[in-house]
Amino acid sequence: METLHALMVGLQEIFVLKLFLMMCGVTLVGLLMGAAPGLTATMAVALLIPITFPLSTTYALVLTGTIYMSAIYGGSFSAILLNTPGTPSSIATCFDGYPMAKRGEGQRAVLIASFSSVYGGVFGVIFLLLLAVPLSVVALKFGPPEYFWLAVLGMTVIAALSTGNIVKGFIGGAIGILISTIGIAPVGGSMRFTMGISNLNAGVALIPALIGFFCIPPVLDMIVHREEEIHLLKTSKVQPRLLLETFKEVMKKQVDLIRASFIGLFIGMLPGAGGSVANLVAYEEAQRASKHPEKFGTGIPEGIIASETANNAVVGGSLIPLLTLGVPGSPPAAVMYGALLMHGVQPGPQLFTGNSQAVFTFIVGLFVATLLMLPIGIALAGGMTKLVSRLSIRVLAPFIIFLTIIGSYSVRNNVLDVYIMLTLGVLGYVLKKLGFDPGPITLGLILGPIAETGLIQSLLIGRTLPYSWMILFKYPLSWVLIILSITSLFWPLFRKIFSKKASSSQQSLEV
Amino acid sequence: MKSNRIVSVIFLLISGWFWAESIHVPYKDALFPRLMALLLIVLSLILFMETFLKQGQLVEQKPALTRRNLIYMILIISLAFAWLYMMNIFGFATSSIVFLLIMTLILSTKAMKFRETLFTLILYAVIVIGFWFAFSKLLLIPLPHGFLI
Amino acid sequence: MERFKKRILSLILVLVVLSLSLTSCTKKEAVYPSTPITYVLCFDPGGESDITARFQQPVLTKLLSVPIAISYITGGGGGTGWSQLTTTTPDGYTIFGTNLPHTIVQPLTGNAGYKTEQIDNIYMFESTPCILVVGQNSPIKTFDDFLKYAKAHPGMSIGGSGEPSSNSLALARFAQLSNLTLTYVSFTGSGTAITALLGGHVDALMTYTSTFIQYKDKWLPLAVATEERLGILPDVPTFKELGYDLVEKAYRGVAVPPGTPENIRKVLEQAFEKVNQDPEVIKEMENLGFIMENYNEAESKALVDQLTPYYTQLLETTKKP
Repeated sequence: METLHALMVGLQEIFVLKLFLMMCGVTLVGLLMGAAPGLTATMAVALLIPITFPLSTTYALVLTGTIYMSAIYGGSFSAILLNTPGTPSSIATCFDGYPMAKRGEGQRAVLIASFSSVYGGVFGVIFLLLLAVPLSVVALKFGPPEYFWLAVLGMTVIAALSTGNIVKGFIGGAIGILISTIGIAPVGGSMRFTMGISNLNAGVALIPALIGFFCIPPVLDMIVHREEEIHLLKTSKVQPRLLLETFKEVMKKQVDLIRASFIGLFIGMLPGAGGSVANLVAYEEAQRASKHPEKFGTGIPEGIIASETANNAVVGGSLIPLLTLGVPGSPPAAVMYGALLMHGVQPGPQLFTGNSQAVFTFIVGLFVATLLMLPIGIALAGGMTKLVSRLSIRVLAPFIIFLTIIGSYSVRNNVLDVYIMLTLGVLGYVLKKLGFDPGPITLGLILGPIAETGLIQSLLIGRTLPYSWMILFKYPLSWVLIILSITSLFWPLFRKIFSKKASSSQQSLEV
Repeated sequence: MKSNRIVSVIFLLISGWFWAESIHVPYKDALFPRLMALLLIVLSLILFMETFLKQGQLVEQKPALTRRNLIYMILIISLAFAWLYMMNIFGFATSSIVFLLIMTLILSTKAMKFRETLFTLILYAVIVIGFWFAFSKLLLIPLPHGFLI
Repeated sequence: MERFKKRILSLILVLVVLSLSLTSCTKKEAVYPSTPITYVLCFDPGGESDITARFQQPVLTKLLSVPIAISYITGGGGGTGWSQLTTTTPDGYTIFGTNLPHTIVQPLTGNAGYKTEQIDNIYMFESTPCILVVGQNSPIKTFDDFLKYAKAHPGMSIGGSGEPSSNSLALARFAQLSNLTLTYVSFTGSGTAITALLGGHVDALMTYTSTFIQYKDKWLPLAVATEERLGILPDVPTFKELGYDLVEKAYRGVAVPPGTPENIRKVLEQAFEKVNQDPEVIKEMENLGFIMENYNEAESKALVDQLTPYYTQLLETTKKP
């Protein structure tokens, strides 16, 4: 009951006009930063740090949490309207969001993304509130072997994501992994594959690579279509009814929503994996569970729901280890960690169980922020949709390039990153034409370091065993992941065999 | 697709390169790249074999890329690289305004009238300077600098 | 097409003229500093360098009367930032957070993109010594237990942050002195080493005091790598006391590019010296397990000169095939 009391106090503290207005402003900024391709949620949180430094701890926490949540949601706007993810957490939203927009259903797609984001966000926050401590115990069970198998599981997602040739998909993944090995080795620290170019010592930065792979090919496609209709999207008439209809439509899919929320929550909880992984895994899982998997990628609501629910659930999930263990579950959470320390708050076991009021107010604030981003987001998205559809390609294409340059540069203040971004962009376009989707490649880029770190650390720890690789098969949790990986890998095969059996038994009936 | 054959050979070469380069690196840092290179070799071989097996498969006819479009794409990309290079000489804002305008002019299907061009120029100037201001003055994030802004 | 080209040319001309008038005044006035200073950190936000800088920032701003903007150039374990330092204009308006032993060790282990001598350390203001800890569920309860356990389990895993790093070098030295077979497992990224020990995935950690302080209720400290016992940890013996000549700390400081004028360096040196005496800063840092250090420019150079042969030799003698 103390919890309830603390929550009530928290509610009172949130609905102070000054704080509330600041939250609205911060939400708007977060949405804009999330929507801009190249500017990430991590950046958005980092920007807020100096601004919140002079404020009270509670204000600082609430505002940084707000911008985190809204930036992740904002990423869906450009994913849907421009086929370029605003943040790496919205990559999968492009797959079904953009086809929908092209059909003139842009508004509907944005609304679906909005409701899904709020659902996932609320889900994550509720679990943060109620089950943070027990969940953190589960998170701790993940050691290097489990991280390795988790990365393997992530890679098997490629099997389902590959709309064309599965072999090509895995080749893409392998290439992505190999590229991720350029630079300093994560465990040993030695320099690899830099060909003497000292600028490559830091490796190929992930964000510029993602921006290059996902934002440049659509621009190149735009160039090809520059002579077509000036308007990129055909806007559908604004219907107030659409709001209610779409809401009902989304809420009907409770199973999808819950599944994606759990995936986001869970992946968010694990330090080292964040929204960028969650949205892709959730998308694949939704496809697997669906009765019409082949429709994914053509513009169906389930695709958007999976991606956007999961990535916002990551927010709450990533705060669980932060608040309970003092270990951030995602890059934006890591920045919040710094903010907490600067305010003299020690994130860790004592924080949560010590009934600190600031924590409860923070959680309430996060909840309110999640709901708040709905009206602000929808209004902003409506404006964006109208704006984008009015702009012609000759303005849009160069402008997107402009944003990608800013975005890639601001990651490490390194011009090389922008060159890499452009180069990989062109490469990505060429590969796409050859049948190699960028999705698997980026998955390889993201998961490569996780897999390698897990593997090498495991082998080091396993030195005390007769064979060091035995440690990969020692723990039950590892086996759970191994089995999941095998299932995930052979799922397309199972499905084919299964459907053949079904159709052949049907035929025998007809005779 | 014949292209698959060429591509798989290229990937075989790439994996070979990674394998070879990993000689310079101590064992524990060479293990993973080598495993992945091996994986890539296996996959590339599979892809290569596939091209011989699936002879009669329907090849999706995607609309061919016209020469003209290709030229436009190469042009825009080259301009993007030039833009970057110029940023370090002339500064972020200047280069951005210039190149945004050049690209827009090139992509226009009908030659833009003078008034339209001027309007676009001013629009770009406002937007770019707005970004420049927000980033370098308000948020104090460095942008590429040259001798102009 | 001709008209088109002409239009573009005249446009570019107009633009060049326009932008020349927009040139920001780059002429720096005689008094330093007169415009904002960028404080570049070479590690991710939320880490020790970031926290230190954030505490220093308000005091520095007051002392120097210009805004101090914190920015990040991350990657390569700090190396990316430091190699950029060497090509940064030495006008004192961009200063870099610096770390020891990283800036000594990285150039020794390969092409880091910079040389140790190019890092002009103005001031070293804090350090975090290495400390050997085990989890509360560990069978090890004392340093002696540790030695026994290590002998019984050759190759036992000891986690730490980064490689090569202060943690890894401390362990390498300890293994050398004690003749034990210890496996260093490197963890990167905030907190992954912490969860490894909390979850019992490694047997022990060779970590920093600043990390240990946050978990002092959960972890058992066995020994600390300092000259004398620390005030914040009076019950923790030093490695020296226990018979092992191991002193290992990660120092943090601030540096400028080579060739920075003397007057600028002096201004910075004095500013940081004052920052380090600010009672607020001291209190906040010590609470988090940081040790205040005060090495001015000359002393920092002497420190680097003193430590370099030690690390060179250590790396030589512990090189794996």
